[in-house]
Amino acid sequence: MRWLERFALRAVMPAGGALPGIEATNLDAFLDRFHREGPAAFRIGLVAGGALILASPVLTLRRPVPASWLTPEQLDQHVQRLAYHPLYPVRQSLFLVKMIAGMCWGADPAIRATLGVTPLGPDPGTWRGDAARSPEPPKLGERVISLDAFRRWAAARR
Amino acid sequence: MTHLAFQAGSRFDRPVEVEADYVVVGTGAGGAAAAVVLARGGASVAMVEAGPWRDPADYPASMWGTLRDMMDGWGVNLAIGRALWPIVQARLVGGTTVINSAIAIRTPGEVVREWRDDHGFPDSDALAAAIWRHQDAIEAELHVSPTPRASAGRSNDLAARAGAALDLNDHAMHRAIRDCAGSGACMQGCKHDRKRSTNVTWVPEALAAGATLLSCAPVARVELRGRRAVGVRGAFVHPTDQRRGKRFVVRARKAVVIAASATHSPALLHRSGIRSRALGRHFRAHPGVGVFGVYDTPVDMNSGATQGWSSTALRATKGLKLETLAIPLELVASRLGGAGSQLIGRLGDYRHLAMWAVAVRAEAVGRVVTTPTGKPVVFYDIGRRDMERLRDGAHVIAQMHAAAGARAILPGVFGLPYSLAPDELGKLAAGPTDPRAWTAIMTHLFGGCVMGADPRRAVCDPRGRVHGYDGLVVADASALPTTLGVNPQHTIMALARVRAEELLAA
Repeated sequence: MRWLERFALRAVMPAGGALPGIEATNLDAFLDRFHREGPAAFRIGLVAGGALILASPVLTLRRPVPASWLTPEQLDQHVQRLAYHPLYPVRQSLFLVKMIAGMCWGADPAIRATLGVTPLGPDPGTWRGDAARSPEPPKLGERVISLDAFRRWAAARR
Repeated sequence: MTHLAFQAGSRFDRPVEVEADYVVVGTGAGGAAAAVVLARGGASVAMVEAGPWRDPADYPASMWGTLRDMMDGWGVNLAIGRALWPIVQARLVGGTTVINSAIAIRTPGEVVREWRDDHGFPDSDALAAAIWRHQDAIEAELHVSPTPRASAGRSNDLAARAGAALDLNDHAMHRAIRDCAGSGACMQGCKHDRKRSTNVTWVPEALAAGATLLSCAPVARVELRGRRAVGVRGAFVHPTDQRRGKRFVVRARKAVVIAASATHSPALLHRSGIRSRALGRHFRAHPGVGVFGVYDTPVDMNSGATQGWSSTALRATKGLKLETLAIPLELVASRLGGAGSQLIGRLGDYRHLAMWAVAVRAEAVGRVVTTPTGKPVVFYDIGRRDMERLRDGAHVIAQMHAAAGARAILPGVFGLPYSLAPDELGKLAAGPTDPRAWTAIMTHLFGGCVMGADPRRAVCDPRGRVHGYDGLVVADASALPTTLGVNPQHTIMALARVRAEELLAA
């Protein structure tokens, strides 16, 4: 699956143009994060989009071969035609692949530097009550939690 | 201050139990507004929020982080119809007030008169007066002010120039933002802590007044004793790995206030066994589309206020609201047409792009359906008349770009050229009305638990009380029986405060 995902993302944002393609980013790290954190809808959508790109040159170029057999120029023409395909589900599938590719490409510091856009800061992923930010609340056994006890705990934490 | 976040399942022998006079489900525009008024009135309040509490220092920077940490369902909840349009809602303490532009536009008077004429609101003049009185107070409390020129940025300046040229009766956007830093990242949460979202204003104030907050705590159902709401129950969910934690029960001595959003409130009532023919029905929205202009010199739309300019000149005649917008680089790739080297080449224009948007007060009516797993799904099919108005609005936006000096306009409509010259805008005016040709989003959502005098057509009475039940009040956008034609946050906040006052007086 990882090969298919890479293939789809590289196809919609290839190298060799006026700007670096997605291959110039840390794509492996992005895909690791994508699989670790991303929702099932994204993962299924990217695989489905990849499968569509791979299997559909017959629809766009009249060539009954997998897209991986196409030359870079043919593959480029193939994805361009898919992006403007008359069938809405095909366009939507490409839309999702482009969106995922954009989140990798557009966040990359080198790409942003090339465009003259400020680099992004971190995504801390923290929240109040998070172990990374505060101790766990006290263990309370009462049936109804004593609000006073929690106030004392909160005050101590401050 | 009492804040209970995710509670691991092993920490307590029994469910976490809390008791308060009022239980408020949701901490967004409606929930936090109701909670703070109740707390100020001396009542004990428990707020229950599905998402975690994130401070500005916790906000993510990237779009991936924003979808992961802030958006409901990673932003991939869709309105299902002929086209699939995303529903933009947040899931954290503060709700969507954290990720919107804090736009504050007063409730139009004729909307409240519509509620009187079409939905049986008995004293609309008094209701309008109460709403506006609260909007006076909200504007003072949340520092509502016009976007300052110094932080507007070039995109908003260009829009102001175009608005003047086209006589659009435009103005700097009024927003609940104090000393805007112009960082262009309203949609990712304001890391400069300038936006007065409810997670940094009313929720802490309510807690300081003695309220309790349960975060990471999606409510599974409202507890009923006969026809009386007596509390809510659910289980904590870890915000990162979705691990289920300890169960919780929050008992309400007086009332349960539902403010979980236009999609989640109807689903919650449905899960709770509330019987109403109107539940989930009368769902409405302001669908919106953006149109890019390409300028000769850099615009840097993400530098400056995200939405600093607005016009309601076409609201009365066409139901259109025009405003500026900025989307981050990471999302532009999906919004521009094409793929492959063509797309990469087009992204080279990024710094020269300005995106302005139109939202339409659509007549279409959809439905919120609750799946067997308890999740809300929105079915919404926009009609031809609405699409024609949306297209008209996109055409006006394109004319604005032309008036502001754009060298090209990118309509982003399937069936039209990728780029239009300023003298080719007639093609957009005659463009397709098939919603599948447009890349739109569902911006403002209304209904699902609408108010009205007739229990056959409305879930709640005109005071937000669920028909046929005691102690159960809806105080969010789901109760609004019509669209507004303006950004709804100010109306939702004011109406929720009116509801809270009514509860205190009862």
